Amino acid sequence: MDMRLLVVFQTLALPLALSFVLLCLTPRSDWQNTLGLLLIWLPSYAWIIGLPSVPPLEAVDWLWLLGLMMTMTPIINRPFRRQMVQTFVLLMGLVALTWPVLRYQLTVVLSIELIITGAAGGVLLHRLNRAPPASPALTMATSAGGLAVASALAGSLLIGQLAAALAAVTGGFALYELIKRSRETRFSMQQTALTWVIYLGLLTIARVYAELPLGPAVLLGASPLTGLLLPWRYGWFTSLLLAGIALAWIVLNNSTTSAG
Amino acid sequence: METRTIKALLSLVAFCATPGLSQTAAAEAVAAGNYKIDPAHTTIQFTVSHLGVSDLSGRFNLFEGGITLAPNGNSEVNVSIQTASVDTNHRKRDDHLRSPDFFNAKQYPEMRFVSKKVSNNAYGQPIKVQGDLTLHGKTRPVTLKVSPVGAGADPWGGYRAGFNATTTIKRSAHGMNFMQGGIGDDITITLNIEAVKQ
Repeated sequence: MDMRLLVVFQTLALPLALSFVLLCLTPRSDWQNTLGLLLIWLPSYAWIIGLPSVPPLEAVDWLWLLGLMMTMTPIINRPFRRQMVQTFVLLMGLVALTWPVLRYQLTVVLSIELIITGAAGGVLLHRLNRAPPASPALTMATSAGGLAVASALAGSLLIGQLAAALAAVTGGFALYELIKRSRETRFSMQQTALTWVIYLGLLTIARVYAELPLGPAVLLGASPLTGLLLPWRYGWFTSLLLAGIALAWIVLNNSTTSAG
Repeated sequence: METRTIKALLSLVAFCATPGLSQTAAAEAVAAGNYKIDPAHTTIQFTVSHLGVSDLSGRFNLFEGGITLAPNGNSEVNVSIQTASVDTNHRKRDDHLRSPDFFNAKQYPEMRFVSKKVSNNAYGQPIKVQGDLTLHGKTRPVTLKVSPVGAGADPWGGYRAGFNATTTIKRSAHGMNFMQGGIGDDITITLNIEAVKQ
C-alpha cells in the first residue's frame, strides 16, 4: 500500500469509520460505551506504534494500559470514589510516562509542569463527574486534532499520528454534535474522561520527549480544558481558537528559526 | 590576500598529514596497550535508505571510547555514543530523529558498543570485533568488520593507531519500527577511528 494511503487509513479512515459504528451502537451502559471507545482506538494505536512492548518500555507503550485502567473506573458506582480513582490513575500514568526522564533529569520546571498537568487533569475529572459539558466530542476532536498537527510540526510524527487517531475516534460523535448544533451529545462523561486522560498522556509525551515548546503545550492543554469547562454550547469554539493559536505559534517559530 | 590563504591551507594540509606517521603502517604490527578514541579525528557515520531511492548519511558528533590491544585475542573495544548528537545536516530531521519516533534520545540518551571477542590478523591487528550493541534500550549482537589503516608515532610524541570499521544492523531489532515503509530497516554504520595510546 502507498505510504500516504497507509497513514491516512490507519490514522483517520479506520478510527473514524469505527467511530460511526460505535455511534450507531450507542446508547448502552456507560461502561460499555467507554470500553467501546477504547476498543476502536486500540487498532489504530497498535498499528501505528507496531504493537506496544509488554511490559512497557517507552512512554507510548503505557497509553493502552492507562486507557484500560480509565475504562474500568465507570464500574465504581460512587461518584466521589470513582473520581478519586480516576485522578489516581491519571497521576500514576503521568509518573509512568515521564519516569525515564524524571529519574535522571528531575528539574524544577519539569516538576512544576507535571504538577500543573496533574492538577488540571484532576480538576476536569472532578467537573466531568458533576456536570456534563455541552459538546465534549467536538471539543476533544478539535483539541486532539490540534495536538496532532502541533506534534507533527514540532518533531514527532508518531505522537501526531496517535493524536490524530484519537481525534478520529471522537469524530463520529463530534459530527453528531455539529449536526445537532451542540444541543445534544452521545459522548458520555466517562468517554470524555477516557479521551481526556489519553490526550493529556499524548500531550505530556510530546512535551517531555518530543520537545513540544512550552507555549503551544500550555495552549493545547488549555484547549480542551476551557472547551469542557465553559457552560455555553459553543465552548468548543474556544478550544479551536486556542489550538489554532498554538499551531500558529509553532509555525511562526519554525519559520523564524529557519530564517535565522 | 589569496597567497596568504593558500599558504594557510598548505600549512593546514601539512599539519593534518602528520609526517611522523608511517604511510605503510597498515601492514605493520600495532603496539599493544590501552588506546583512547580521539574524537577530533574520529567519525561515526550511518547510512540508511530513504524511500528506496537514495541513501542518506548522518553522523554522531559526541562519543567516547577506548580500545585495549592485547595479544591472544584479549583485545577489547568499547564505544559510547550520545544519541542526541545525531547530525544529518538538517535541523528538523535531526529533531525528528531524536524524538520518540526513532532514537527517543530523552529516554535512551546513549548507545553503547561493548566487544566480546576480537579477532586479529597475523600482525596482531584487529580485523573482526564481535560484541553487543545497546541501542534504544535493546541489546543485540553485532560484528564489526575492521580494516587497520595505520599506526605510528605522531609529531607530539604520542603514538596513534587508526582503524575503519563497518557493520550493518536492523533498526527493527532494536525496536525502532516507525516509518518502515519510507526509511530502510538496514542501517550501515561506519567508524573511522583514530586512537591515541595512553
